[in-house]
Amino acid sequence: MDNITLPITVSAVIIMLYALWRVFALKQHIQGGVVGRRWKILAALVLLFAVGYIAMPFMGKLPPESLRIVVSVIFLFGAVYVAVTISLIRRIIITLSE
Amino acid sequence: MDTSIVFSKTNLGQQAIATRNATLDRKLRMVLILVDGNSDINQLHNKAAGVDGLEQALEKLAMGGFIQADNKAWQPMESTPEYTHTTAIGENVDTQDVKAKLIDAAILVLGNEAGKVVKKLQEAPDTLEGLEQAVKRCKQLVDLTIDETRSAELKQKCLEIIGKI
Repeated sequence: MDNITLPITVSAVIIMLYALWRVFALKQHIQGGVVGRRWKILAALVLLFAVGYIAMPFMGKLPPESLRIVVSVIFLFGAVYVAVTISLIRRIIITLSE
Repeated sequence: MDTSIVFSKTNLGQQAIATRNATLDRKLRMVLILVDGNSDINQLHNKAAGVDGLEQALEKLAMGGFIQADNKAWQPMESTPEYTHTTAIGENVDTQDVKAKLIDAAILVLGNEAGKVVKKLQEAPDTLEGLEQAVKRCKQLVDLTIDETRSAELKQKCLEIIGKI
């Protein structure tokens, strides 16, 4: 099983680090406005996910109850991320169609 | 107006001071004297304590070609300008002049953040319709990436310049 999970986890960490780099690189071009406000939230969430993904290999040492809490927190912030992204896209569409 | 802008007098502004140009009223003349090429708008506010409408006066002076912002993209007025710009544009409108005023208005509102907006305006076709479309796109860009309040201010000023208000 570890033969499968390790490459998947490493790939996830690499992709999340790439996302982290892109989100902060783009932040320099977005001072504020509709996108800028939400971008700060997205950047914070990506940072949180990156930390979580990097910590993933060490989470096996946690007791099962703590692990379930960590997973549920990641699910919660994942849902927030999706909601913020959809809200951002909605506002962009509204602004561009004015 | 972006308060980090530093204004300096143009040749026309220096002439207006030297020759006591009658087209400038007392308040505009006083504000023009205060412009020194070093003070930003916040500092000018301190110097001009008690003067109402400082920013509007600076805007009139800037749009009239008496002062210029410390920005590479600033468009100096080549023709003899009137400091009270007309809003109704007739058929003989000089679209190059309108474009220059739009660029200056963008710099006045956005200051150092005006770069992308200035580029969009520079690339716009030299027709009133083309400039109007460019203003619309610039408003969207500012709304999305800079500030919604300033985007409304920019749109208002640009439409006044184009003559749509």
